[in-house]
Amino acid sequence: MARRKKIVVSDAAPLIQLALSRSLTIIHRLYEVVIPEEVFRETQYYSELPDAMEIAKVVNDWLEIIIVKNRDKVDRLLESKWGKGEAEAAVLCQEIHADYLLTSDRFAISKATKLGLRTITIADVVKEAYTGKVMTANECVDFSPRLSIKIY
Amino acid sequence: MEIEKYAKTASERELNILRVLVQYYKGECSLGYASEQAKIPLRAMIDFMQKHELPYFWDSRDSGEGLRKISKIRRSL
Repeated sequence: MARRKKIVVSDAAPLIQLALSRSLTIIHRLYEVVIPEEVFRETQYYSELPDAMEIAKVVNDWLEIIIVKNRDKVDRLLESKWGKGEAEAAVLCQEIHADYLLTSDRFAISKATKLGLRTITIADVVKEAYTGKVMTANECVDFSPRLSIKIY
Repeated sequence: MEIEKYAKTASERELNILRVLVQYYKGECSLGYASEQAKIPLRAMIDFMQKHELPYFWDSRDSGEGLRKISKIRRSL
């Protein structure tokens, strides 16, 4: 029986980072990836840039955009120093019962954990790509500095 | 005069970005919030960080490194 891919809601920064390092497809190979509208908007501010175009290209292919329903909850998070995209991503994560929130900063991880969400970072994605044989050890080592991440 | 005015505005803008990044490295806000406070798109903030080789905040070492680099950039402005 084929194993179900885990569902990940991504924040904008990790998507941009992955697209900048031309490694966006890694998350697709590991997870079902969903983003809220605001995250997509944030990735498209300079829509003529290659990374933005790369992200736009995969929407409706393997990157799904879902509209967040609970605006009140988003507004409450915005009052506690979340960015708009991060707040929408966290609420969407709860609404669709996603497995993980993919984020790239310490503050968001700490706040999301308090909301009962499980978080992953790009470093976790790289580790899973290695254990899942999606990337070789050499690819992981080569990949890490491009994303300014450290794999311990 | 126009050039001087432009340079002053540019450095004030950079100082503002650095000010909110200090909050980010102190763990007081997220990167998205920091870019909103600096009134620049997240993509521009990522560019700014890459240009100045500022790390993403994963752990306390990054925090220390980020704050040290910010202090250095501030002195150069």
